[in-house]
Amino acid sequence: MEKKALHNFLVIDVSENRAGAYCGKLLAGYGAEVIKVEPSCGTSPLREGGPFCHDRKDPETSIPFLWLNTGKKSITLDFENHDGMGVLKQLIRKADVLLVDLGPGKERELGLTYDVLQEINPRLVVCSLSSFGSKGPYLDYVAEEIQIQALSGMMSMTGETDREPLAAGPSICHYTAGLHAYTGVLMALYQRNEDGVGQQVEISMLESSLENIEIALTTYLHTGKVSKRGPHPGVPWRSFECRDGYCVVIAMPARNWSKSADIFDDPFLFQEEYKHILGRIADRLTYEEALQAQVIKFEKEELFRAGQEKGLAFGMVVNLAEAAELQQHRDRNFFTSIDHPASGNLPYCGTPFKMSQSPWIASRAPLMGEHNNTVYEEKLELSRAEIVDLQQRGIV
Amino acid sequence: MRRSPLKDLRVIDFSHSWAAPHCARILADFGADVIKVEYVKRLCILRGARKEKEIYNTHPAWRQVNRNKSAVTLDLDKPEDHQALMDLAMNADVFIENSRPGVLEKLGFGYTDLSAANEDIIMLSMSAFGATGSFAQFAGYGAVFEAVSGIQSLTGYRNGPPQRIREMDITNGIAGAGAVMTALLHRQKTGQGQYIDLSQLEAASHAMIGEHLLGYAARKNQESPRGNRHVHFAPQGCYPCKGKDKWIVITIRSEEEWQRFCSILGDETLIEDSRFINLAARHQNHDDLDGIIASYTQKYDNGPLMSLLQKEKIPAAAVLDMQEVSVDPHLQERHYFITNVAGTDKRFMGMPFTLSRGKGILRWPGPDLGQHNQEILVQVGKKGADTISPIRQSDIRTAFDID
Repeated sequence: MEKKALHNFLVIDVSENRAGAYCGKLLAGYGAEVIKVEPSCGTSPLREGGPFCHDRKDPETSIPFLWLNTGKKSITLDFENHDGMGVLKQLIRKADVLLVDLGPGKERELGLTYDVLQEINPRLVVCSLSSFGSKGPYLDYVAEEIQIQALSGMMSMTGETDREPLAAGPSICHYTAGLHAYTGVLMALYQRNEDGVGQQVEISMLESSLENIEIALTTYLHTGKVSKRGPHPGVPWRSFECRDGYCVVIAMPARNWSKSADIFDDPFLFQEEYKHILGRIADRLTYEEALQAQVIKFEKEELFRAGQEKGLAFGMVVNLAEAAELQQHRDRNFFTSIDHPASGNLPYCGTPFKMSQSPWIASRAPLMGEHNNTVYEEKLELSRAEIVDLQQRGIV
Repeated sequence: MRRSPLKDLRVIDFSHSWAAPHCARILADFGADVIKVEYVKRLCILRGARKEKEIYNTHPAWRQVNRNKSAVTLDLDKPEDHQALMDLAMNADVFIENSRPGVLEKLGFGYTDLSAANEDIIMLSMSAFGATGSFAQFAGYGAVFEAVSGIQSLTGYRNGPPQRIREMDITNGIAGAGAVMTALLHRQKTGQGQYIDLSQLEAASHAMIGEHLLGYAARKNQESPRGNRHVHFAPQGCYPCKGKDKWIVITIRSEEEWQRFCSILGDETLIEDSRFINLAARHQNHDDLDGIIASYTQKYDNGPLMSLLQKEKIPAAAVLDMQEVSVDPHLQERHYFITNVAGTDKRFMGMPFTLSRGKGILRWPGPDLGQHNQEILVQVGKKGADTISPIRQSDIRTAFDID
């Protein structure tokens, strides 16, 4: 019995950016055969952008590429060329899923729209990812991550009240879209397994990102209240400065907060009118100031553990080095070592969730065009002469 | 013909707060029949801190995150309610929970119990730190995962303290839905159910900073917050416009874009300015450049400036607040918001993505407390309609009550 959940699915990944690539990575991790199609001349954005493993520009050691393409195969193909497109369409005929993020304009120009693809392969699931979807006034707008954060309202709520809005450090909109794409593609495959017909999954990164503020946005729609950047409504519900950094203090679960009287040596924090969160919210500044005076006495890990031992949801702000060494990650083998010819052996985050019957497959990102022979000869059964011809014309 | 892809799928949502209920919401949006199980003596945090006037039924957060679900209240200390949940689980495809590891086992609804009653059930556990390991018993909310994962250390104004980004509940909720779909495909092929151990710390780390953790491993350089700057392109920033708290974000990705940008600002001397002559120079003199750009952008309203720059293919976007998002012309023209929801005149958010054949649908907002007690309990045959007692107001405790 083949245990990999997505075994037997063939995915063609012509996406260039994080969202589509992350979706493809997850599909590969749970067992699909994912073929990344890379331009035959020049390189894809994730290979070019870096940062690079050895601070030297090398498309084989670009960290985002290594991370986002684990478990995939790579072929090079210039599908902007007519004959190259012919080869891509042969692949699409055999595929279960196509991931594409070239933008509605370019996709139309190349004939990679769903109505065309559907005719080539009615069973195909096409996942089209774009910044703003396939219609609407922003259709041709150009956007990087920060523009999506701005237009989705997320940025207006991040940062300090009296300063400019702040972008999230990670590419949260791209990764949110990647997770939606993974979920949507699997829903489409689930439906296809019942009736044999494929469909299009459309990801508008803007609409996908609105989910991240679903409570703030719905609150506005229902009450007219505009949430702004600034503190979390709960008190306490944030990070406070401690001796060696920042510690997160959250007074939840509420019934456990009184137990922190054993940790913080200040009866003021636990007097009658502050027992309920509404009392603390009414007196936010005074309360948080008194709490800050206590928190500063601790080291972050000391307070994190002290709170958790009382059943309270405390945390500590760790940097990347500390995250890499986190005891819990070691205990659960979260990092998996993967070797790669150009970058060497490195620890990667392994499975995003542990499935008792469907293992995650950890294998390295491909070298550029590493699987040209396997794919063109074995999968498409092109003759040696045809391949040489395509190579000589720079298409492969 | 469009049909919801998860029609006929039965899901028990035995979870609280935001991430796991969000996961169940996605499944419900695409057709699953989701039953939300609640405990009157400890309401969900999204039902708020107050009880008067049944305000716990109308919180926008609750209405959104639990939309399309049916709601039943059960008290597992009562044998008949315990049996009712087991009966529901026996007919379910998916069981979702997010209690501390061990709690479900103690209640008699661990994976061993569930799979003994219903062999091919899929159980998704979304605990804070995972079912195993030395942190397994620790509690967590989004603010905790952001901090303990390292995510927060990457967000902040330059040289400032770490800042919150979003709750990680949404991305973790989507990961949960992805996990359930993975298990459903596995089951479609093999007939086999399974147990999923989703650690919210791990799912958030994987999706948000997997690439940064790999970068640290390879280069051993500790990244510090970049504010609104880009790791590669320059300039990128958030610049003030006309009006109170009005801003625009702009990214310049190439020399051609830089020259076009200077022309649009009407200051071509900048093109020749040695401080900004190439990418490296613009990175080095980013502070000076930010001041100059701000002196131009503050003469404009952010909407028209966005259009002007976008017409020249320069990535620019107004920073929108909730009110502005709600009237955004692009979302309006795409009919993103849902307006015709039965029983309410309120608008709701649309679907996170669209399927050409698989309909996403909003049937009803998050249900009132115990709204479907009658039909669900009668359905499992444990009670006649006349024996189901109404919820006593005096029994109700919110998540914030301390007694």
